[in-house]
Amino acid sequence: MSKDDNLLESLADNEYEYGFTTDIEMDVAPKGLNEDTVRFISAKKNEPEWLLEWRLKAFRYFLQMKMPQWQNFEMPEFDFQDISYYAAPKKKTLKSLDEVDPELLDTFNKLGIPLDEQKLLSGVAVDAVFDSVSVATTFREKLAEQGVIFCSFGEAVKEHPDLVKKYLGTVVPPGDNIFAALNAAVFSDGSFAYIPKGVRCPMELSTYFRINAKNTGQFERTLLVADEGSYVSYLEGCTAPMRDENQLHAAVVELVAMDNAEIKYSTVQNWYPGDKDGKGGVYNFVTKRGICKGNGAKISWTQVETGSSITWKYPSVILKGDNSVGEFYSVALTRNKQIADTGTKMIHLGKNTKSRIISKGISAGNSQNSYRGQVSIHGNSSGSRNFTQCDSLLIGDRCGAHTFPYIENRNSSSVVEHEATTSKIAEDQIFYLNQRGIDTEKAVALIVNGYASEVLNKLPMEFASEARKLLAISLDGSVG
Amino acid sequence: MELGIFNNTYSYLSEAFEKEHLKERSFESQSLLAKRAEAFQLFNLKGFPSVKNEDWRFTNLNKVFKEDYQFRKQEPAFSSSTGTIPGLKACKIVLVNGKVSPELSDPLPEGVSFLSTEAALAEEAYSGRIGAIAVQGENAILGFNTAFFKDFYVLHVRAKKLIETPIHISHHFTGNTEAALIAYRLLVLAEELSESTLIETFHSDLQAPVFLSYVSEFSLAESAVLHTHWVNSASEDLHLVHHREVEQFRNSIFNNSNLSLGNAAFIRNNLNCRLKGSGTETNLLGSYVVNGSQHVDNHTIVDHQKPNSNSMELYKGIMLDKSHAVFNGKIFVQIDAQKTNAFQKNNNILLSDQATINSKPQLEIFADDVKCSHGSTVGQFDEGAMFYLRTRGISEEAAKRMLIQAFVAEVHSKINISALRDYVSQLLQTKLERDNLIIA
Repeated sequence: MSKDDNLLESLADNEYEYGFTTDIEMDVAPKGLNEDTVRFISAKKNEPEWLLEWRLKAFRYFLQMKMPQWQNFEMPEFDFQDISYYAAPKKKTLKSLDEVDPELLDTFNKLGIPLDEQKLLSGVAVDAVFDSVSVATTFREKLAEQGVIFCSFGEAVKEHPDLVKKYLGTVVPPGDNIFAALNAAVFSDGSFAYIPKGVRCPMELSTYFRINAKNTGQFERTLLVADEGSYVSYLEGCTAPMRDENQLHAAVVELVAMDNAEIKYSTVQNWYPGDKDGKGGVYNFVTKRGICKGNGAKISWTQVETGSSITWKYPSVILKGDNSVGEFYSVALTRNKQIADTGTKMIHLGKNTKSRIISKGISAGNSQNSYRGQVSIHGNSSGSRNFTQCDSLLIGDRCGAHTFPYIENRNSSSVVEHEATTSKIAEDQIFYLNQRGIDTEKAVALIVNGYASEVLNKLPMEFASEARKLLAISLDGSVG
Repeated sequence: MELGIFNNTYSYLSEAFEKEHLKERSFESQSLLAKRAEAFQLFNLKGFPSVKNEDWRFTNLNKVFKEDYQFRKQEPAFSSSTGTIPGLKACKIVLVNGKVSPELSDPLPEGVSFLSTEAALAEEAYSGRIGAIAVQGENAILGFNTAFFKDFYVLHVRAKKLIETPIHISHHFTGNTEAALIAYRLLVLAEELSESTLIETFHSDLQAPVFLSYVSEFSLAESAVLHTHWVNSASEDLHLVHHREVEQFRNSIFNNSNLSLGNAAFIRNNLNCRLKGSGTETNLLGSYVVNGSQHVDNHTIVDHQKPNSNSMELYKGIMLDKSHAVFNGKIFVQIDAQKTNAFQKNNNILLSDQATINSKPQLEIFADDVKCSHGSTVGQFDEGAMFYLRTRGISEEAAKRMLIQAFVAEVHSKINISALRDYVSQLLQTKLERDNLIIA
């Protein structure tokens, strides 16, 4: 038992690695939220009239909406007026990377995201988002050779307005939920990618999000369109400084996959989780949804969630095209007083659609970890198939693991399977490893990694090793 | 307020509570009347639950309220005694429209007593427990029953008694005039070290719809063993909302089977087991075979509050035609309930594209040294099995019948009274013969 206590202590004591702040000249909007805020952001970004209209419409939805009540954790009080909705590093309109503030480059280097293309070995194109705006996008020319568009959302609005207009809000409409409406009204930047017909994107695309400024919220929007027969793998990572107050992150991600296109979307989420008493931390309320619009399309979500004081997100797939495939692989690790309420929705509309959900929850300390998911097979979706497995692992006797699956089937030729288990780490497994000279702390890390490997193996290689490290570090200060 | 249904039945009840209902209940104790007033207040505020209420999300009570219901002023005559289980040796208690019929009922063995309304309410030991096990909280439909129940029955099994003959409560519903409301409740007390079996069956010969609110509260004292079987074979016109709350103390064993095999248009079963002692065992079985436009909803809660308890739950269902089935099974493991084993399984077969199944198995676990799992499937028959039967010259329809029987046999075979098992199998066969199983 004392060993367990030690382990828990080290679990709780482990500091957040990315908690530093960057001192940089910022352009911050005054706190508060009203129509003028929306106009201010739109004007800052020199947006066309249609987009401002769209934002204002979303803002009106937002005003009519109430905070949801269905969550099984205590919802913190929100003061939407107490946040600043726009913060950007000064010095704008960059021509090349050389013009990026060295302080900023430094920040991203510290985070292990080198923006300097010369030093890039991994061959990953990065769009780095610092507070409200995208500061740099790498490898743009190389991608452009293949016709791939990868740029910040702001640039996309200016350079590819037709594409943005065609797809913006088609998967997550502004009235979808209160945070999606808020995001649509005040989103400041984000990433945009378009993969043309038949192109296999030559490198991984990646966005790196960093919250830095105080009292701000981050509201970015990602739109990814994969045209017929194309393939893209997209990575997303995030960190934030340690602050005593909670910061709101309400992003929207929309994916559109046309006929036979495939999108693989991976997230390693490591926002500041708050300290061991649950003070501070990021509220991560994100709406992510993809649509398999065409036949034979495939969307795969993979997520490793270790950060944020409250995570509330359900990356979903609408399987509209016949023979389309949706996948969701998730590892969520919570400790201290973190709360994770995450899962997915698989909406089967087309014929012979298939979905697979693998969710692994690990809760330690006083944390609460929930899987909440929906599998819905509609009447016309004949021959469809779903398999869901959600396992929970409990470390310590003060944490909770919960499962809320909604299963709906209206088609007699479709099959849905769901299974869930909850247990603690088996003592015989630890004993076995102890016997081989592996101490309990390392044994736990090893077992957790093994437990999560089904999901981690789905991550692109560079990310997988990082995620493994992150899991080990999050689990235990002395290991890894 | 928006979570409620406020329809004509509601308005009628709102008005009738003081004007008619309370006047009839003048013989009741002050404390019970106060309880009724409190429950009425809740119901009056919230109305019947609408689909906006998470627990009623897939079950729309408006389906039931196509008619406006009222309490009957006069009881219809009833003579015939249907609903005997052939070959079953049991002490039968017959309730007709919620009223006990002494002439149709058998005397009970020693060690068991059955009290009906006035006698039961006269004793504080019984009437004081109304709503003490099934705590109403924010549950308006439970409040509705507490406010308006007309009859109250107590089945009391004394300590250290082994009652070998099953007690069979047969619920009959009859009437052919107006749409009627019926509300009553049952309290079952199993004292320590007792063992008994309770069978409840539901029958009807109705020509007009009935909305039945039935609440049963069970208390199992230390080391008590109680087997209960609940078989619904009522006809279309019965609309039933049944709430059963069970509290279990140390080392007690509760075995329940809940079978919806009749044609009742609407069934909602709430079965909540609160495991308040350590070392308890709970086994819940259920089956539902629904056709036409039937709606059957099974909500269960197994709430592990103390360490070292085991629970097992198995519900199987088959949906035909335009029917709709709902399964919601919650398992709670509270912070002190270490060494809990909890298992739950829900299997469904969907045989029509117009039928719907909503299954929501749910785990909420706050203790770490536990083994909990649940599984839920929705699918079809094994093609291999079907093919095998067809190659033996068995028609598609007959093969389907066989496979349906086999599918639910996993549940039905666990019923340990052979006469009841045969009865259930017969019920299912009759139901299946009525239907056209070949779906175009």
